[in-house]
Amino acid sequence: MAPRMTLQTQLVLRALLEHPTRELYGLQISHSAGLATGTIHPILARFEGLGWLESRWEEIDPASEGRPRRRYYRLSPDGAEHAREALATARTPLSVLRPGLIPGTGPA
Amino acid sequence: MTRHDRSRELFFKLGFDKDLAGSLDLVRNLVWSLDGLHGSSRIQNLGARPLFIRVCEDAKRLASDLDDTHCRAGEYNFDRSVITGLGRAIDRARLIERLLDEATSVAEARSIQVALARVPDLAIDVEGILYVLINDADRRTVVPSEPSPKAPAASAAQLARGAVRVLPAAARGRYRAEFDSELYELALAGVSRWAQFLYGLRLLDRAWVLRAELREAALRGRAVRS
Repeated sequence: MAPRMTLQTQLVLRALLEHPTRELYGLQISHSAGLATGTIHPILARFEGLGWLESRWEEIDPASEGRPRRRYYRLSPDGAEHAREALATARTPLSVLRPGLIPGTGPA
Repeated sequence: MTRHDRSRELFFKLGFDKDLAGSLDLVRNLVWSLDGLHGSSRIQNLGARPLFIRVCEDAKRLASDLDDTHCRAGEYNFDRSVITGLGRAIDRARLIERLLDEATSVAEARSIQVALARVPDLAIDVEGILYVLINDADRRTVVPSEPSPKAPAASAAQLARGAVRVLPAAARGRYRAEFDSELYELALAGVSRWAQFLYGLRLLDRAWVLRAELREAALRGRAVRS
């Protein structure tokens, strides 16, 4: 079943699709999507549950690095395809929800 | 050099940080494997037996590793906080081992359900204790001349912990570590305490939605498996 494509959902997908093979952690995704930190975990969990997203712990030794491990996310190969389709067929696309967000779609 | 300084120097020199990080990985694996068993009451019939056996093996190794670390920490006369923390972790690890042993030997639905209901919370407790032990030891050895990162706002950390408590037991360890990591990054980036507090509030605000998503994903996973 296709997920509901809210504005936030579309922004997260768009941020992930900008670099589909790059791993990003939660705060980076929030910043790329232009969303407030602490708001995207339900969206990430939904896409992870659907198999569109893969996640893993950063492979560092927290004691020697002196910081906690990050949780990295990346679109799965199928997920990237699904994400493109979902954005293309969204009933209310980003260009309507937030004019000007996508170049050339803003008010004249 | 004070006894405290000697203790913290030995902690790293003798590789206690690495031992504890190994145990932390082990308990995180355990939490993830338990997630895979979530809701299984018929281990024999559901094809979940290999996973259950692996959980039991991980639990035995965890208790044994922690026991070794605890004994060594005692020999080197470490800080009371380290000894006490390890003692708490090992008590829980032994209880996990016992509950899983009972479930394996009796192999009846009820004892398996009891184990699966109690073990995830105990494992998450162990994870939390080890995480604090490692990070506290690390904080104590920060060289004074280096700029030390600002600690995350306590109020934000409290809110993040509240958000974690709303989540399904099997997911709590993962999100506790993920939220802690994000909060640490925010503090490191110099984000104000108020902004960190707002971050915590947003986590708490969306915790119920996250819980629903995680439950739906678990149901979907079970439907696919069956």
